[in-house]
Amino acid sequence: MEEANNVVLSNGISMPRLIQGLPLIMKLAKINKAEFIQIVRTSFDAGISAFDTSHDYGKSEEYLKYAFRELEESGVERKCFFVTSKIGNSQQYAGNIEKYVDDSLKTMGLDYLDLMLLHWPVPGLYIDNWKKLEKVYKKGKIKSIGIANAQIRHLKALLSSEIEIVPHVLQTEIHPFNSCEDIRAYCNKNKISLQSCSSLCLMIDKVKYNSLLNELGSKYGKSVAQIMLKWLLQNNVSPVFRAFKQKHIEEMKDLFDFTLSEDDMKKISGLNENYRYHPESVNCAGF
Amino acid sequence: MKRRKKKIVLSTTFIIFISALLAFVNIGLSLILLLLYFTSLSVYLVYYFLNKLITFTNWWHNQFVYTQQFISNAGYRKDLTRNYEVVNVGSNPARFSFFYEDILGENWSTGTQGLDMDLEILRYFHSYLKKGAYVLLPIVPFSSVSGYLTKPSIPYIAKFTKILDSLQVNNNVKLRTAKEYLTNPLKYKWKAIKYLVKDVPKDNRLDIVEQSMQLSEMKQDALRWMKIWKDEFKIETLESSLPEHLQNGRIVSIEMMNHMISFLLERGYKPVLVSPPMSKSLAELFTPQIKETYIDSFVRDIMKVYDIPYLDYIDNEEFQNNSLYFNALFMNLRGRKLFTKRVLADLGL
Repeated sequence: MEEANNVVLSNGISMPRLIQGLPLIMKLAKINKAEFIQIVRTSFDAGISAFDTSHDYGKSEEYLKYAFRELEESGVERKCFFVTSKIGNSQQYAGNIEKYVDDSLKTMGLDYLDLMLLHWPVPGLYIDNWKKLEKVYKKGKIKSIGIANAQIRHLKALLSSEIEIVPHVLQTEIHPFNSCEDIRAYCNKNKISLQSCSSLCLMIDKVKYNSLLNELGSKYGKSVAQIMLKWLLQNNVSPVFRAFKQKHIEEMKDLFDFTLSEDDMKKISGLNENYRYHPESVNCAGF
Repeated sequence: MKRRKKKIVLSTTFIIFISALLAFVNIGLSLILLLLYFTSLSVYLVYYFLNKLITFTNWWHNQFVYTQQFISNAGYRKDLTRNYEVVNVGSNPARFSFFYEDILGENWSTGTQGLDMDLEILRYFHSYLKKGAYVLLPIVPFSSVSGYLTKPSIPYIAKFTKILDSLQVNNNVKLRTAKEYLTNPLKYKWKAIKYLVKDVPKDNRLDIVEQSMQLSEMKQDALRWMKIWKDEFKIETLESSLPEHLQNGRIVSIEMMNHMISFLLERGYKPVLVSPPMSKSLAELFTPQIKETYIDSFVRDIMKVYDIPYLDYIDNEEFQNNSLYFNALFMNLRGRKLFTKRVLADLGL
């Protein structure tokens, strides 16, 4: 991938801007190992070299071991792909962060992770667990660390807690219907790189049939998904998306061959209604 | 269920094996062992199925009838409603005070609900609220001393284990202990077995539109409520100043309320204290002195810490009309709609 398709984190690590999310939960739990490996292979061949998983994503970490093995056997070096995983809430309650990092490494058959996130800012726990994660980072098992689904108040609390490392990445739900302008400004100011999860708001009907997005799709000759991902990229946000079908994966190649005008960017931003597909507190009580 | 079957199969196999060995030594002992085991197993299975059967009764369902409005972690991918403008928590009077007809709102009262469970519900469900949403915190009679009730019943707490997050439940001693009630209700309420023979009617109080009591019945019901509260809180004379044994309960209630308000403000919501109205029959018994001791002084103590709006409708004659209630305290559907409209108008919504 060209350098423009990567972003440099505050610690100098280069992170690809497009990230294939690999949750094998709910309906996706039925995806078998062979299909999963194919998804990873097809993604890599289409230029997507970053993969996002988690302890809480079913068999995702386990299947990634085989997918990475296949990539390496075909001559792809480890440094050519970027792997993100996350510490789940139950793991945060248990607190043995280094063990869970080791578990992820072992499950995925890796020597290091490119990025490890605390999946949620679990109240009363995330700050201490962050400090534990810092220690693991210093040991070299993880190249960068961050937090997911945090709001500004969580970040402020973290930054004012005598931590040594400002999160390199914040991953949170951002898309035109939940534009998070304040979070984006805060992260920009504090040099925290942003990743968006649920970048397409799961293509629910209000998104899929939105007239503005469809009009812009026609205008630029792109799909609604491509318009939304491009809006994110131009807002300096690296989208985590989930494209498991070949044609959707292929669409990602065409994200860097067009630019949304400033006017169109503003129109898309005007869709914001602070709509979160994932209500945070039902994933993290006390959020 | 699978684990239970597996345990039964394994233990049966083990006992049969031991009996068979024992038969070589003493056939009588072997038979006694088998008899004891199969008797115990039968008793256990009957007990298990009775517990299962009880969950089909109205008595059982009535305990959870006011928990259907919550969209869980499993349900939010199907129910895409987000950004509520207003919700309320609170105990039974709150359940029967609010009905959001023309605004995206929800009643987060499950019926009997203490301040601690109000907070647990807010902790788990608040992200359904829009930024800056209103959260109505009802001050119902004796909220101010609810902290006195330190030993809530297991069935009451078990209701919340059904709707809250599993980690939230497992990390709360009260909730964790009460979970067992959901699968083993007869352990805690063995007398409920009578409902398998003669069940209670289904709870349809939310559907009652009109006043269903005559005035004489309302007056009796009002007296009944006053007696319930006096017994529950061991108050000899309601007209006296706050009894000593309730002082600590008052402090705990203030702390819980302040904690809830702080939680909401930290997240950018707008908490509003609301004293819902009561019927004329009950309001006549709820004298200014009682109101001062158990409501007004409590509200003042909260407002010393947090300057938030307080809407007091207890003495509002418009809502004391008995026709808006189906008993002396609970509003019928017509009453709830009218009252909610008024509260929303007073909030500028």
